[in-house]
Amino acid sequence: MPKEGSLVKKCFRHRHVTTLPSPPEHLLKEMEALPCAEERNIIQKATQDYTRLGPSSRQLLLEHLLSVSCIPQLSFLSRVLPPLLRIDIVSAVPVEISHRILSHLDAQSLCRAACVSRRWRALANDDSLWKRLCAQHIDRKCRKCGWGLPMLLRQPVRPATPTRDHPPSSGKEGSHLTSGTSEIAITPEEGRRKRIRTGSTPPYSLASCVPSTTCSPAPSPELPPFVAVSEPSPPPPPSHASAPTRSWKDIYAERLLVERRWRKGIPKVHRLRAHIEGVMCLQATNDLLISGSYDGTVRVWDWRDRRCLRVLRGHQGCVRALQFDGAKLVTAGMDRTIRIWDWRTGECRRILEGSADAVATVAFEGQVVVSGGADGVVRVWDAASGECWALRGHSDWVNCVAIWRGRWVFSGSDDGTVRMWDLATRKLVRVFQGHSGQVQSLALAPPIASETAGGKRARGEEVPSISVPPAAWPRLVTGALDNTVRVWDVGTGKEERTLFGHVEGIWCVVTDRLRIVSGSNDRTVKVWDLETGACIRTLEGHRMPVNCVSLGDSWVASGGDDCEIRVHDFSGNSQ
Amino acid sequence: MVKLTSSDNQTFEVERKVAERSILTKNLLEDVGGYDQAIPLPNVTGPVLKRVLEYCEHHKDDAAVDAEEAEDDYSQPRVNEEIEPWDRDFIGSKQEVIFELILAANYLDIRSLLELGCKVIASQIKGKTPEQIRETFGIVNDFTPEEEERVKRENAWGEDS
Repeated sequence: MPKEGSLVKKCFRHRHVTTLPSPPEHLLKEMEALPCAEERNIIQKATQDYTRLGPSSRQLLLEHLLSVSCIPQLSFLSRVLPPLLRIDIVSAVPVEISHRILSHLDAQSLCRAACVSRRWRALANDDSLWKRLCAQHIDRKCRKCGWGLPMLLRQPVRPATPTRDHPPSSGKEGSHLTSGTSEIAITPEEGRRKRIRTGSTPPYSLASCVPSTTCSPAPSPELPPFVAVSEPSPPPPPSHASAPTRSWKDIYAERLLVERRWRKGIPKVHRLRAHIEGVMCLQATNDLLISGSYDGTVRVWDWRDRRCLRVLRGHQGCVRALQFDGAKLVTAGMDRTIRIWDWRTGECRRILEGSADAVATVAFEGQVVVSGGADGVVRVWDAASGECWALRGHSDWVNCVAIWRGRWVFSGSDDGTVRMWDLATRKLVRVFQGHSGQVQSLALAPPIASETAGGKRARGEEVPSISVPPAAWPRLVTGALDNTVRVWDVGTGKEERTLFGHVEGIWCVVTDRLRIVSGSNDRTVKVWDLETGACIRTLEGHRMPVNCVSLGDSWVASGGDDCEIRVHDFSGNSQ
Repeated sequence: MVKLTSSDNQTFEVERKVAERSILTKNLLEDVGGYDQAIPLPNVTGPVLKRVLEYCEHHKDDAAVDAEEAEDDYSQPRVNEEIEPWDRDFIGSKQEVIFELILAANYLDIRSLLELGCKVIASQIKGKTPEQIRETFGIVNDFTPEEEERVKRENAWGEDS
């Protein structure tokens, strides 16, 4: 006959007890209350005998008992059994399996699971589960649920515990195009109120030039350090009270809240005023903003403090386009010059002269500077030597240019086309035709990792230098005076989608992996979902046409003819 | 044919490829090159092993499992969230059955069966409130009122979307 102990050990219900449990108290009481002592003994004896049996004998005995039971007893059994059969499987299985189960849950279910019990809280807060959710959603659209979450570059994503793989942000920062500048210039001498704008998608955001930690690069004394000004991070989980790392759950929560604010929150609006004529171009980072104006000045701002830190003077006339990175600022002017500045000191380091007419747009990547302007020529400059050569083909003003991977250049023109050029061969690669109005602005949306290799991870994303697989091309977003924003497949040259909504011409567009933002002559800024083309919201406030926009993970900056810069901040910071 | 013996000494005879759905027995068979005698599986009872073999029989012609390949690409959602109708019928919804199958699949290293069990349990959690989850799995709420208040606050952001 098997020993009691071994039986007990194998059973899930009694796995924690070493000896058989004594009957629950209410049972003992009822036994006491039995009028007949003999019955009491029978019950005790039967129970003891039963526990001495092995599994198959127990089953036999039970079958015997069932066969002699009447309906009331069977009914009793059917009532009391189901609750006894519930098993807290998630807690009962080995912890790897618990995580496996929970890895099938979405964020909301995980949050609810964390409220069930202490054990469940520990399991559902596991860092690896949240890391997976972060990796699925941050800076991309999840293929399962369709949501994407912002990257919030300034706050480096880091696991709370040293784990095997690196956070989703690493290795991607270099290719992350955060914002674009676009500008418009009004040239009164042009009879019609012709505006030229430049759209450029800077290959570096300031943020990506900053070490991805929270320390600042030796800042010049009068400038704010590039610290993660943004959010005062919520307190880390108790177990890491002193560690500088945050849990992935924390990171997920923070981004989800920002995403919600984009959709339906009320942004905090920062208004920057100092320019005395229309703001034609701007680019911003999470704390810094540089703007150029028809008044001929370039201003450097701390936009969260609404402080103008510096004024750069030099251009003789409207500043039509600009782009900056961590070190230099490049501006283009109606005075036919391109100027390269050290925006930290305000010093103008170089002036690129040679354009035949007003320069309307400029973009740079490394030492390569590309410009376009009133003469319809796209010029490619070597920033170090000042040498320049031309790409000819447009028949009217070139209003916007962008560089992709240091090799391909896109240019948009008043002739209604966008042209794509290969700097290596100096040839025209493709013409994008479709806009029925002047193309004023263009931007490039980097490919989304999960799209680039047919569902597999795109490892090659960083190195498409010579032969680019079609899926690794960026998407081209253009805005024109025909009131439409269009999205193009660069690989095929086909138009993918037209976004309707603005009621007047569009002066500026920017994009990131999740959104498109456009500014229009109708005085509004619209935020669109890049994937679906749906207009998520319309930002009003400018009293005149919107000339330029810049986009971050949690904010949109826009500049208008009303001389004002408005930054809509969705981060939820109250500072 | 291969013979397998459960903890309670029940012996089952199955085709080799059925037995090889279990990485544990597959490795045992490969190491030894074949077994004349029954392979003892001391952590599975007869009734459970019988059900597991039923599953393996149905899936015997599935593509071979790549050892670590199925292992997690973190940036991708779980593939194949759907459950095949046959699998759904097979596993049912009884917790005690699923529980046994999960443990057996884990011991025998049958990844697809383990995954099936996990998915079904996850589907019993999804969409439920904490109280409904406790009810479903017979869990005692062991938070103190203060703790519970705090946990609720910490997780409130998950609601409303």
